[in-house]
Amino acid sequence: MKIWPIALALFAGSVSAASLELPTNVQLVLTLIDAVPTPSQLDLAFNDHAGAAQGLAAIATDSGAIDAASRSARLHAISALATYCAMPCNELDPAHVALVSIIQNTTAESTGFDAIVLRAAIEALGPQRVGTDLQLLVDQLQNPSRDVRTAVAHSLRDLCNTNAIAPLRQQQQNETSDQVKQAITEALRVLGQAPC
Amino acid sequence: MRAPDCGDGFSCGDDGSCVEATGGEGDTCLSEVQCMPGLACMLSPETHGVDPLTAACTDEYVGHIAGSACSKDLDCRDGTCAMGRCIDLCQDTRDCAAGMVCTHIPRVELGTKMFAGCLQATGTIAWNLPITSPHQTVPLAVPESAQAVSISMRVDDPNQMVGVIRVDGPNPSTTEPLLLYERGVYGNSIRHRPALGQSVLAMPSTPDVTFSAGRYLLEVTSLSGPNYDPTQGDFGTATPIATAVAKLDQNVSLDLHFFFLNLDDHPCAAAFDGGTLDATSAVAGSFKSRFQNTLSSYLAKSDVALGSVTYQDLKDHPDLDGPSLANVNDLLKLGTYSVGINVFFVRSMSPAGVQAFGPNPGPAGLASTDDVSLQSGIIISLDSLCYESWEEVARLTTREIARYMGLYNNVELDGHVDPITDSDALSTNLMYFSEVGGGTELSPDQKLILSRSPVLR
Repeated sequence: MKIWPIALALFAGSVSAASLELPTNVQLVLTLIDAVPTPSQLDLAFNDHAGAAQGLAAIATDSGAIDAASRSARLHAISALATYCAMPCNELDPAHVALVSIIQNTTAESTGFDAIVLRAAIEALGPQRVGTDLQLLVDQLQNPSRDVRTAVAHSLRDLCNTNAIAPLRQQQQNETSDQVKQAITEALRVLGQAPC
Repeated sequence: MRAPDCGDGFSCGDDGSCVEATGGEGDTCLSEVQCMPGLACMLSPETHGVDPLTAACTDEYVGHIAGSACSKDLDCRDGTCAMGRCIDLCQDTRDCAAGMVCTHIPRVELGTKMFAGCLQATGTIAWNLPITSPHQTVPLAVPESAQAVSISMRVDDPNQMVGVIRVDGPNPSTTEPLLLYERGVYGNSIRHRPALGQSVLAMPSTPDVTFSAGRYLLEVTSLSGPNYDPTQGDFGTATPIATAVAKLDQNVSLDLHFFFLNLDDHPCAAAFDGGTLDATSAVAGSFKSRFQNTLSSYLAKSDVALGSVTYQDLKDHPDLDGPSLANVNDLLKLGTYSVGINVFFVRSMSPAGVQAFGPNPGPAGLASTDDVSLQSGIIISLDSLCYESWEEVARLTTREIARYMGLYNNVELDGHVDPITDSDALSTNLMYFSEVGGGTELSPDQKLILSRSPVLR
């Protein structure tokens, strides 16, 4: 069994990632192609859990990431924040604040990379289960992008707040996308069985 | 000219003439063509301690002709069933029908002995392994003409794991197992781990270990979950279903079957010609010139030739337009082609950041409609096009195809290196786990493993 230190095999120093200078291990763990970095992998890359939470929040909100690898790292960081707010998640927790900030800053986006960022943040917000996020998410049911609206339905499902049932039902009446309708139906099914 | 062209009871002489057989009932024989009409050259049930197995001209059974599917010898007119096919005994390829070759095949029922039989010369052959309990050791016949073998296993309970925990090779003088679960994934010459619902064991995993014909013994089991240890006897309750697929030629042509989910109003539609991408528009424009041609060049660089390509829309599965990793199986169940690889282009994947998914390795040579296969294909997320080029998406797709065909990451995030000894741990390698580096290189041995994949035709 051979174990090669990746840093030695690849790069000696850190890697430039747009406006943030990411350490090599962080860059690598956040650019997996076909896998999701686990919390233990992230904690290791950032040295510890607290460092990971702080670092992920910084990368997630770094809108200066322009090159492909940095943008990929940003998406992974946003997704990872879903599990970096200790339950019960406090709305002032940095992992939560970062996601809310991203949504507020990209709220009008429906195309391009920013729409992907918005979708990622919406998807990650629901699992944190902060009740006050309900309206922030419900507002995005009007986003022109059906990918964003689908993400909202999934996120409201994960938020597990039965107050989402009414706006979801209303959206179901008016929704034109089959993809979104399916996601709403799934969310209503789960919420109907609350507590989740 | 082949002997079967002369009719039953004749061989084909060196000069192409038909020669009447003289073997009567009870006479020893080596080939079907030595026995008179109405008789078949059948293997003796006894080994007599000799190799190859002895055979005698015997009254034909009422059964299927050579090449037909079978589960036991009695199913076959000529009395020999191997690898799920009725087999005629032979001495020379001239004894076999056109398109067949005379090759050595293990007689797994009688230990490690081999006999010479007619087998299809090209393509792949698939057969089911006779597994009747959750934990069982089954023999696997690997014919001399096989370049590689892939064993696809599944259990009906998606919460149980399935896989092989021990493989003993065909060499009776070597007692060391080729695979032993407790050695870990990097400690075996065959790389494999049981997985939830479905797993695939592909041999060989590395050219460093000689892949030889003969009878292999596979200890196949289900496990009740990821935390159960088979070395402690923690076996599952589900009975595995397993299919073996052997590649019998050296062809390196890869067919790809492109499936397009509903990509209308895509956030990255700026990368599509006219904002649209579907089975109709994909045959030309950017998809063809930038994605498919780049993919073809990356494959060629890996010594694989792009074969035929098909295009198909999947517009009536809105729930799968943007699958999450939790429901990718629902999409891969739609992989209907057994030859080549099914490639699904989706709007996005969840969680965001995941750009592709595919089983590693995949169930080569099997479609989702085949009994054993669940995950037949790979998935490519096109929201990558909001920050990646078509050429980079082609590179990622090539990498996912290579994983499906039996290559693994050249190095893992934790530093473990793939056992293929001539591959490096550099980011310039196609199989690098991260998109940093943009690698497109493969080592000669990595290419060799690819060239043996049963997905090739």
